[in-house]
Parts: sequence; structure tokens; C-alpha cells
Amino acid sequence: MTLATFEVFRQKSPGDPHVHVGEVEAPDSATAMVLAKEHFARREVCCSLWVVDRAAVAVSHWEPEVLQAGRAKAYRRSGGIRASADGPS
Amino acid sequence: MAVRSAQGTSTRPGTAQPGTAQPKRAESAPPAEQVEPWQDLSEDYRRAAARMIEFHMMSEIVGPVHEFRWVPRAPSLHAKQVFAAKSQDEIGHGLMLLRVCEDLTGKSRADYMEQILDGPPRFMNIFHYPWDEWVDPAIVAWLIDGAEIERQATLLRSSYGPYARAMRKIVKEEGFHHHCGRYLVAQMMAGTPAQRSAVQRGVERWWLRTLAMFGPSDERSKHGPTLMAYGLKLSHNEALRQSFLTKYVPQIRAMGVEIPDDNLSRDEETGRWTYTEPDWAEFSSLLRGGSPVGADLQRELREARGANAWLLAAA
Amino acid sequence: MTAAGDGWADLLIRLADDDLLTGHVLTSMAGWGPELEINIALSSMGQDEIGHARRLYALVIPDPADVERFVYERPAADFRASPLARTYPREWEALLARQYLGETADAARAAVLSQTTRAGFAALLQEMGHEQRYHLDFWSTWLAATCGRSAAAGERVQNALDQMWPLAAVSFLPDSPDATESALGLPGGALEAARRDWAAAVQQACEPLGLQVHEGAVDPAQDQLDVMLGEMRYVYATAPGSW
Repeated sequence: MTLATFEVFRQKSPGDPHVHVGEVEAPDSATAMVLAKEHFARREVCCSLWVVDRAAVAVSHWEPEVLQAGRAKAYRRSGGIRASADGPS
Repeated sequence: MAVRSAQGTSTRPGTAQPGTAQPKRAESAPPAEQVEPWQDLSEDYRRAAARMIEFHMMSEIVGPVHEFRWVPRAPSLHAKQVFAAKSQDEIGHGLMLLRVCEDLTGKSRADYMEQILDGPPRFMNIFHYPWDEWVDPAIVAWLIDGAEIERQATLLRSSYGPYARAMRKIVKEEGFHHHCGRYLVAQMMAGTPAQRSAVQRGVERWWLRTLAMFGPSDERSKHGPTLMAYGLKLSHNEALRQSFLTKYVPQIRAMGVEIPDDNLSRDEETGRWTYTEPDWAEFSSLLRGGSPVGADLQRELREARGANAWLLAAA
Repeated sequence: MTAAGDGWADLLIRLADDDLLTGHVLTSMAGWGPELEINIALSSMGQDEIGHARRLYALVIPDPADVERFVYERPAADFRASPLARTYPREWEALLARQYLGETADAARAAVLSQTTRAGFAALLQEMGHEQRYHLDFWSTWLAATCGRSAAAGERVQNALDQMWPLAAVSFLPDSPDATESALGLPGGALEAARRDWAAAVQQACEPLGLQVHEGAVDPAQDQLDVMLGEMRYVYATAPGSW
């Protein structure tokens, strides 16, 4: 029974995103889940947990400059449109 | 286009490229950036980080051997729950640091267990002494875990990303450990003359060991300057020791305990403490050569894990 | 102490003593289990059980100081813990068998006890049920994972089951089921019916895992109450009543 590494994601309250909190090692996802609960949620407000086999996670290869190239595009931003009883301005 | 999987992100093929983490000259400046295990880190940086984090990790895995000799003996139901929770946290710290080490070096869980159980003893001085009375784990939780709070808070800014992140959970829990110890000691100080005397004798036993735990001051520190330059260590040993004295000397005295050092005094103008130095030769000897007590910790872990190794051993 | 035949108090002390000992076993073994992740979970479950014990004792012994003395000074002969709860296994497969059988029995028994007319007790059982649900999931999951590991692992579990089952079988019912049912306002025979259903359910759950339930004799050497009390009282005895 080899151990696999499982990434653990915790959702604080309904509506919140699942956030990565660390890893556990376990033979399968069912055992990973019962282990993750006590390691990562015994002291925390938590309504949901995900465990994902690390082998299933694909990691981006781009440098930060490539991932963020779109941020400088001013044409994607606009001022807000204010709506009022007189119509948009 | 091939997509990288998260597997094997820990090590990259060795190249001659210098790592993105370069030694920083200014000791007190925070690292310019945090680095991650899948970046091109220099071998020097990896080695320095691994040595430091492995030491922390091994401490958190052998330390609980001492604690779990006392968990079954907690003298009240409340103490039983509180001390079990504190000891459980330490196992969790060991686990998180083990994961950080595995991803940093590429060694597997099995590799590390072999290193921990059979390898050289590389852990804190406090675990090389006997913990023969209930008051021992209580004082360690009170003073040592208390002392660690400040040092570990600085590690939240470690240049090594996974370690800094692991420290968040560890730091949160360390405060509880200090309060656990303080509660257990206070209980005894409010008890019988024999209980109070056990605390006094315990502090006398642990005082110099506690001061030594911070490590020698800079001139005598072998690895300190490198770790500071790499942003892996973010505080000076003596500064932390001084801060400990400022915070804990009044607390210890308020508990009704006398501090076993006639030379202990504080300069009113500078705020600087003078104190009797711990035995630094003894400290070095423990950290480099180990001890019978330390060897016993590894032996007990070997026995326990050996019996159950069949469950998770590679098929 | 309680009046003889006081079904309510007897039940509470029996349940509390069981939880105390199980809490002791799990929190103690958390230092020595097969892997760090498992040890963390063992400790949590042990802390839960001690919490349950405290709440159950409190229903029959109102003063917390008296509860402490009841736990730390009562003669071993006055403990009401079941044969299964008195076992103190150090090997994973034995702990697994003890807990799987104990937790499934607990769930089946609680389902009956929850039907009590005593509303406060029903509410307490429901609350404890949240933690118990996780315990059951933990041990069921690891039973399957352990048996599935290899034929040799399956054999270990079978041997452990052979040891623990006779103890579990005689641990399901309280000492006087009639008095208990009467004290709780339960239909007569409800606990016995639950016991039969539980035994059948265990057999059904074991089958796909390649395990068989074998009847057998209770081994008195499995009673480790004295060892457990010795550990628990080691520090307490240095200053009785002063903790």
C-alpha cells in the first residue's frame, strides 16, 4: 500500500472558495479524507473539504510576466456606469 | 503541449544556473521574495534550508516521545484533554514540517522515517534531558513553547515559501501550548508544598537548558550568518534570549518561583540582561553527538513504528 | 454511590466508564500509531471520548470535583466498564478491531437509547452523535483499507477480530437491560433486538472484506483495567485531590 500525496482544500463557510491548506499522505482518497479532517479542520470553522491526489494536479509552467501580461490592457477597463433614477451616466 | 503535473515539483535537474534566491547582504532586511521548491534554487540554498527545516522537523517528531510518556498520566480529566491536545498539535507540526522537507529535497516519507529512526540525532537540546516528572513537560510547555512563539513568528517571513506557510498554523497553536504549560504549573503552585517544591526544583533543572535553547550568540554561531543571509533565519539568538528574559522573568517570579541565577540582573538604562551563561560545550555536544536519552527516543519510535510498519510499507 | 437497581445511574456510569477507557486508549496510543496522520486522528477521537465521559458522569455526579475523585480514586472493582472497553491494544489491527466493533455497537445502541422519554439525554446523545459519526467513518474506512492492503494484512485483521469479537459480543448490552429500558421509557426488549441486528450487520460488513465473525471465549487476560488505572493515577497519587 504505497502512500500518495493528497492536496487538501478547505471551505470555511458555504459560498466561500475552497482554499489550499496543505497535504496529507494516504493510500487513497477515502483514507486521505478522514485524515485531512483532523489534521486541518479540528480547530477551524469548516463546512467542506476536498482532497485531490497530487498526481491529478497540473501546474502552470508560465513565468509571472506571462501570466500577468493581460493586466496592462487599458482597453479592458472602463469607468463605472452610475445608475440613477434619471438614467445611466 | 505537455502540461506539468504537481508530482516531482520538488527537485529540478541540476544545472549551473545560480538560484533565484541569492544571499542577501543586509541581515535585517526581509528577503526580497519568497521562493518555492519548483523554482531554480541553488544547491547551497536548498542544503541550508534542508538542514534548518530538518532539524525543526526531527525535534517535532522525537519530542512527542517524551510527551506521550506523560499523556496517559495526566492527573485530571481536564488536564488529560488539554495535554492530549497539546501533544497532538506537536505531531501535526512534525507532519507539516516533514511535508515541507519532502517537497524541498525529494526524499520520500519512507526515506525520512529511516533518517529519523536510524539516522544521527539532530534535534533540540531540550529533548536530550530526562523528563522524569510530570512537572517536566509542564515547564517545557510553559517556558520553551512560550519562548518559541516569538522566534517562530519571525519565520512567517521565511524566504522559503512552504516553510513560511507551514509556520502560520504552527504559530497559531504555539500560544495554546504556552497557556497549557502555564495552567499546569499554576495548578501545582496552588497545591501542596510537595507540588510547589517540585515546580521550584523543575525550574532549577530547566533554567540553563532554556537559555541555551536559543543558541549561542552570533560570534559562536556556525550556521547562523548563512541562514540570515538567505532569509531563512530572521532573528538573532541573543536578541531572542534577551526578549525571553524581559517577558518571562517577571512571569516566573509572579508564579512564586525563584530563578536559580544570582547573576541575573537588568541594566535599568539599556534594558539589557546579564546572566550566567549556559554550558555551551554541553550544548554543542548534545546537538552534534546526541545523548543516551536522545538515543532512547529514537529506539522507542523504532519499536512502535516497526510493529505497525506492515500497514503502510511499500508493497 | 447509586441505589442498587437504579437503571438510569447504572447506565450512565457504564457508558461513561467505557468512554473514559476508550479515551485513555486512543489518546495514549496517539504517540505510537502507524503514521503521523493517523496518530493525529487517534488523539482527536480520544479527546472526544473523554469529553463524552465527562458529560455522562456529570449527569449522575453534579460536582466536578466529585467526578475527578470518582475517576481517580474509585476502586477498580467498582468500575462498570464493559469487557471490550477494558482492552488496551498496542497493535494497529487490534486497535482497529476494538474500535470498529465498539463504534458500530455504540451507534446501534445509541439509536435505541435516543428514543428515550428523557429529552435532555436524547439531546446529549444526538450531540455526541456528531463526533461518533466521524469515528465510525474513520474506522470503517481503515478497516477496508487495511484488509485491502494484502492477504497477510487481511489475516492479521481476522486474527484481531477473532480476539475482539467475543468481548464485543458480551459488551453490547448494559448489565440489566430491563432496568435500563424501564428507566429510559424504552420498549422492553429493544436493546436485545438492536444487539441481534448489530451482530448481523457486522457479519454482513465483514464478508466483502474477506473477514468472518467467529464466536469464541472471552480471554480474561485482555482485561487491562488495572494497567490503565495505574497509568491514569500515577501523577494524581502524588497529591490526591490537589489537581
